[in-house]
Amino acid sequence: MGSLEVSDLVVRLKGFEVHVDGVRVDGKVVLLGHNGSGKTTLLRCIAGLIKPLRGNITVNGSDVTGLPPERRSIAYMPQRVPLIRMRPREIVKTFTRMWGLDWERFRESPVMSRLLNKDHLSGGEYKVLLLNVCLMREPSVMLLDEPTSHLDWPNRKFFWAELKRVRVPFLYVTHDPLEAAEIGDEVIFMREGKIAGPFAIDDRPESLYEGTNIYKLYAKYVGV
Amino acid sequence: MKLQPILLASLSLISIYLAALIVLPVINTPLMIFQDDAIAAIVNSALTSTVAALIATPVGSVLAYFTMNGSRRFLTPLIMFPIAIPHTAIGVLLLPLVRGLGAIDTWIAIVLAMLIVSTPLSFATVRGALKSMGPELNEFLRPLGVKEYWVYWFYTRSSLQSHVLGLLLAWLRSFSELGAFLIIAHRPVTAGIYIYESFLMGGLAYTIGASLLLVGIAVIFATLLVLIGERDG
Repeated sequence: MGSLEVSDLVVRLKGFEVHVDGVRVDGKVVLLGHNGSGKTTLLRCIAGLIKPLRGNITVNGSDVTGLPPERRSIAYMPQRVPLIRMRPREIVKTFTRMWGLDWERFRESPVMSRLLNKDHLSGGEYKVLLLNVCLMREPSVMLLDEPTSHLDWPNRKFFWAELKRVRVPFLYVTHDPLEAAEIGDEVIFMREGKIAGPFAIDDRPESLYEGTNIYKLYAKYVGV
Repeated sequence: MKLQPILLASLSLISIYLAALIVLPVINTPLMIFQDDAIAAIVNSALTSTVAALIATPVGSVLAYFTMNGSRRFLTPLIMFPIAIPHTAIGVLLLPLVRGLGAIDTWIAIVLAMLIVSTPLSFATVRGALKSMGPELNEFLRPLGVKEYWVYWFYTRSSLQSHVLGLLLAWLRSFSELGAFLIIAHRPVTAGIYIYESFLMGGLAYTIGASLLLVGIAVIFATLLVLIGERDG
């Protein structure tokens, strides 16, 4: 299992400052906060897409602060990844060819096998495909920026189910407390560029969702 | 529903304009002469436009990707300026180069002028598509160690229809060029030069046939543009 540590990190972007005293990611960690609280800025800085003013980022104990994104062993899924206009099979084949990987290996998982036989994917399926593309590189840590923010309920469930199978530690950004409880083991809160936590997540929202009348009606008339 | 009267009025005005554009010169011309060399001039224009568009599209695409983000976007005015100046000025600017190459009144001069005037259109079309895709694809691919040329490939592959649109626009712009040719390439005869010279020598009767043929070709290409543009969304 990989790990990510951030210490005394200061990032300034368009007059807004993010200051993180310390964060450790070695499991399923959720970063929870309002829109504009600095979550995406922090993730982009950890990924190496923005330079910090000061501070340290280490992956598996090695300092990666000055390294370019491709040498950090961090996979980053931005909030809005545009559609790669290719068939799912072509996308995966392109990446396997690019990285010299065995294409057949990615057809072993039942979910991937199903996705690769489709011509068009739903939003959630596309995100799951990208998640698997990230995993092809065997990153030490994954950063996921609101990957389900534009997805409907069944697609969110599908993405969460796939994410739960991932063994790579991840930092998952959301502004939905129930989503945080659904997928995380720990939660960090962010407000106006500063963080609080981590806190262990004890409650699971399945019973909360599935026990409600609206969920039963949704399942009956729309399907999950 | 409120738009319907405005739409009808607009369509009526366009129809009247097109009818006048096509019918009035024919009525006013006692004898319409369609010379064989008109076809040769149009074929010349079509062939050279094809060569220019096939070069302008990849050039525009690479420039669009190169200037998508960061300080390099300030190069955009240098690429777009041919749209903003009279094309005779482009001919003047190209003259020393074309003269240096010994290429005045050659295919090279024609294609070079077409390339300069059409690249901004393919560039702008592809750039619009890349801008709408945003930097996120790059930000997803770079941490995964995807090399720059593969990132470009993914952007291109995902905006293929805009590239086709850019190709058609570049072709149309090249096909309609005249200004630069007046300075550097009267020969081989292209459509614009043919109409200009025929009008000077013989008046309306000698030019109306070729002009109408050009309208037909332009309408076909413009229809293709609309169809591809709508498919692209």
